[in-house]
Amino acid sequence: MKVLLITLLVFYFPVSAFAALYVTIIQGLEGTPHYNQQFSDQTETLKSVTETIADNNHIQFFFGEAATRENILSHFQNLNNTISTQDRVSVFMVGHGSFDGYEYKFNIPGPDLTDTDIAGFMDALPAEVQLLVNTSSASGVLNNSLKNDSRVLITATRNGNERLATRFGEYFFNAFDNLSADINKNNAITAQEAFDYAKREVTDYFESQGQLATEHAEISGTHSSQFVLARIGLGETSGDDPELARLISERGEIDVKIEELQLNKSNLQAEEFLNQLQSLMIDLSIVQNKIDEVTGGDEL
Amino acid sequence: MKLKANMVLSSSLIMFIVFAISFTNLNARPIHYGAIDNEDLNLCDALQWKGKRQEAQVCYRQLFQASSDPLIHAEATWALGDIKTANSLFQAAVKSSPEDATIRIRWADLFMQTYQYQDALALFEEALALAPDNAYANIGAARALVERFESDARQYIDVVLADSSAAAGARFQAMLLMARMSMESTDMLSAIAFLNDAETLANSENLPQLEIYALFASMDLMDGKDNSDWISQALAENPAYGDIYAIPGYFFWVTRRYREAIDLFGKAVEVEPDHWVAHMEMGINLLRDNQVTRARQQMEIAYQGDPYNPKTVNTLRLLDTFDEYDLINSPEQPPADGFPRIIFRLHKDESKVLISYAEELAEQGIREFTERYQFEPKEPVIVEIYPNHDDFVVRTIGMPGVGILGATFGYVFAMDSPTDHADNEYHWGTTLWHELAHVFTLETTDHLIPRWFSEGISVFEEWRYGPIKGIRIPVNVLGAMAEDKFLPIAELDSGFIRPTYDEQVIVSYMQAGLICEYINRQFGIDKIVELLAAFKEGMETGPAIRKTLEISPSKFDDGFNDFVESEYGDLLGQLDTWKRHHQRALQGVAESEWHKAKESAEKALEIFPDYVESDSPYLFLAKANAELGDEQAELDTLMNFWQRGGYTMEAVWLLARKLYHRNNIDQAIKVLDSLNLVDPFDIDIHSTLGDWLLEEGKPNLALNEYQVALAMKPHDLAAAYYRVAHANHLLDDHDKARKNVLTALEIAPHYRPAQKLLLETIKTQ
Repeated sequence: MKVLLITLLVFYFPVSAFAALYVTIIQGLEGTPHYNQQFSDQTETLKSVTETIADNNHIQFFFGEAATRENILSHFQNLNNTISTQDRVSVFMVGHGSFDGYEYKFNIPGPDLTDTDIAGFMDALPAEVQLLVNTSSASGVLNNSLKNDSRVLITATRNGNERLATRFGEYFFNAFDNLSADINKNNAITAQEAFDYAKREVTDYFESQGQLATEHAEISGTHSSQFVLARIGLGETSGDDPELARLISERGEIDVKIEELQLNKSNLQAEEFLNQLQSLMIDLSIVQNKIDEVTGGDEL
Repeated sequence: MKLKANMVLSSSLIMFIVFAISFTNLNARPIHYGAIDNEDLNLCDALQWKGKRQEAQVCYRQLFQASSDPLIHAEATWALGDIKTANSLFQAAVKSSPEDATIRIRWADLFMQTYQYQDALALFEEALALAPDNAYANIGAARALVERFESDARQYIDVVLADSSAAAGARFQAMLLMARMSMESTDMLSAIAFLNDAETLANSENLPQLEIYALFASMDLMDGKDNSDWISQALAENPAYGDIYAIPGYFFWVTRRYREAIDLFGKAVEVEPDHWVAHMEMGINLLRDNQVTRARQQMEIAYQGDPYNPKTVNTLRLLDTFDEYDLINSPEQPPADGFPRIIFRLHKDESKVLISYAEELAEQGIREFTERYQFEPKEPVIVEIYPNHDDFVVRTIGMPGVGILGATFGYVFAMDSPTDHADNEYHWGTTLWHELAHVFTLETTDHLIPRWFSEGISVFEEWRYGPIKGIRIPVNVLGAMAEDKFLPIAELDSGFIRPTYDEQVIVSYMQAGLICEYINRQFGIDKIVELLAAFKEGMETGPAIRKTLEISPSKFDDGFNDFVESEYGDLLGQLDTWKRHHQRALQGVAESEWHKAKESAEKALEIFPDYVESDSPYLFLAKANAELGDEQAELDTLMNFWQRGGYTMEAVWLLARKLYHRNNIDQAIKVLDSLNLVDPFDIDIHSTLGDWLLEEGKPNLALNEYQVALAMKPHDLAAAYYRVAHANHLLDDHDKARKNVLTALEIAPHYRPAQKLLLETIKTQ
């Protein structure tokens, strides 16, 4: 079956025409060859997926000897001068962390990155919409200093005391190309969807091993369901076809109406809600059929 | 009762464990039979043991005032019911006289009464270190070991019995213990002999005889008498001696006659209202009879009187969780003048998943058993499935930590849920079948069936008619068979009740199952039904065999041994060779030496083709065939494994997929469906099964699987609703199809299959 994806802004975070996504990936020290392979696999997945949703020039990857505190802080300093409040920033930290009761450290060559460092560069970023994913052990301690509504913050643990190497990262990045993680079937994986998928997999893992879970991932931030991390399948835009552009626009309008109806659900009788939902869904389905006819697509 | 094969030892001790707890009554300081020898204390004790409680209380108070002995202070305080202070006083007494073994023994007795068996045992052992020949310490250690699920209690008893110079009171206790154990094994002649010896000793040493009366009364009542002179004799001596009923009550419940036990415990609390253990046992037996409200009342009374009894506390905690369970009738609407055939008590988190499979299997079982055993249930069968193993065990015996899988009390049976067995080695469908068979064998005999026959029929049912057919005998049991450890049929009950070696209970289960298999093959199923009728008349095993099969028990044993020899002689003779091939096949797999694995597995299977556990040679052979590129052989091997009752999840899944890919969808469905009786909480099974059923044009069956998957709240909820809607649509249930597809779309508005289904549904409407 041909898999065709229509990429629409309405699926994603509402941003202005000039908004851009800036992605920073930091791969920390691995400690053992096993973790080296694991972290490399995760950042490779991340890089390849990110390249489909962000300009290559906006992706910065730190690993190995180059992943020093100095280089990283310098990068963020430069980023502050580059981006605007309209832009979005994603930061992914993959590696080992530690917490001694006072200070969190993300293990990199030379001096480690501390929670103070991380809070410093994240808070200084002008972008109003931010995402920080830290899959390291003890990363939960960052919730103390980095939580705020406009920042989606994902940590592999709920506090600094969960100090064993985590499994969360492996599952989180697996979600990026996993259909079953795409709960709303829009062919895009949001931060919330990837988090939910990974959290569930971690729970299943510990249950299947008959072990008490040694990690409990946390998520915060109001935009986690809108922050798209990956697209599944091929992307397609309307290009120069005005009819397709019109249909896509029409579908976007219906999406907005559906969202409004869902927000108003508690004020409606169940049957009334279903009737209105049905009407919108029929419209949406018909428009989608027309889009499929134009594109020759037969979406999943 | 169905056991975990590897937990036999602890299971086998259930009866004895509960026995010891049963006769511990917190308020009434137990009779010590001379463990402490003090003239003044003896006077007070004599009043207490004759039921003159007021006078005894005054006596103890005066003794406390008059004595300066710390041990007497502790004893008097204990007798007055102040356990905490008594404990401190014993502690002080030990400090002041560290070399006195008696103080430690009595302190240990106090710990025994407050259910602190570990501490009690330590004190008894300290006493034995101080006085190695102290018979009271030996008897105390035996009691503590029994409470702690230890099997070597008997050695302490034997030491006391063998020593004619041992303290009379300790020897007397040893005789009573032995009498009780003999009664549990239905060895009444031995029991009478021990009781007669105990009586003689009591007469010569002027020891209290109330327990002897209670044991004789138990024999009378168990023998079918309405009353016993021993009861009136005991009550004449001590009108408040509740144990004269509670001890027979115990013997009724260990022989599974729960309703009679309830009546006896009720009488016990009538004569001794503060017999908290009797209240507790009455409560537990009421629960076994599904009288939940009355049970709670009794447990609460027991708790108010004795908040330390772990059985009381555990059971009350369990009762508090009953709100978390759904009660589901089958049929949902029983006839106006009738009752539901089955009532399920299933945890709310599991009921929607378990009910369809449990109901189908139980209904099938009731139909078959009714016909096979010619008995129609007179009441609903109550099926309880517990997601927490310890809850189930508390439901069964009031205490956690015992390795059983199911237990039947009559019309009520309880069992483990598969959710508490993450290893997927628990075939819950088989356990349900096994316990349901007990319902019929217990009820058709008015609970008079001997243990071996009830277990034998249940095992026979598993093998011959259960969800996974085939005789499955564990390797360790084959080892016992090779060592000729099977018991004569007339003694088989003792293998369950009083095992003499670690694995004897499971060996006895298998022997009992094989005996039923033998009777069925040699004499026909009708003779099994006739045997049930004989037991209902109250016959014992020997006479029942004579009457129904018209041969002596020893002739029966000869025939059975010939049967075992003809069926298993070859296998038993090659067991070591089989083990070598099995091990070699395992090694071959581990070392990826596939030819070696294949050759060895084939040789192992030639010797023992019915071995289908999770380390079965079939699985090694299938893997080797796959690695050697012989797909057909792999498929055949897996099919053979499954057809012989193998249910290892990964292997059965693999078989189902292979069948599906070969377009043998009908068979693939049967194979995959069988896993629902292993792990019905695997969402993939339901989704896949539903999809395959739809392909086969069976939307009604597919709908059931999809609904089960949905009830498990899967991660991909939109897909789950869509699947249900799809099946609804194919079944022309357009209203439900519309609602479910809209729910799917509410979650995932751009879900194309759901969009298309919506348009189709609307068009159809």
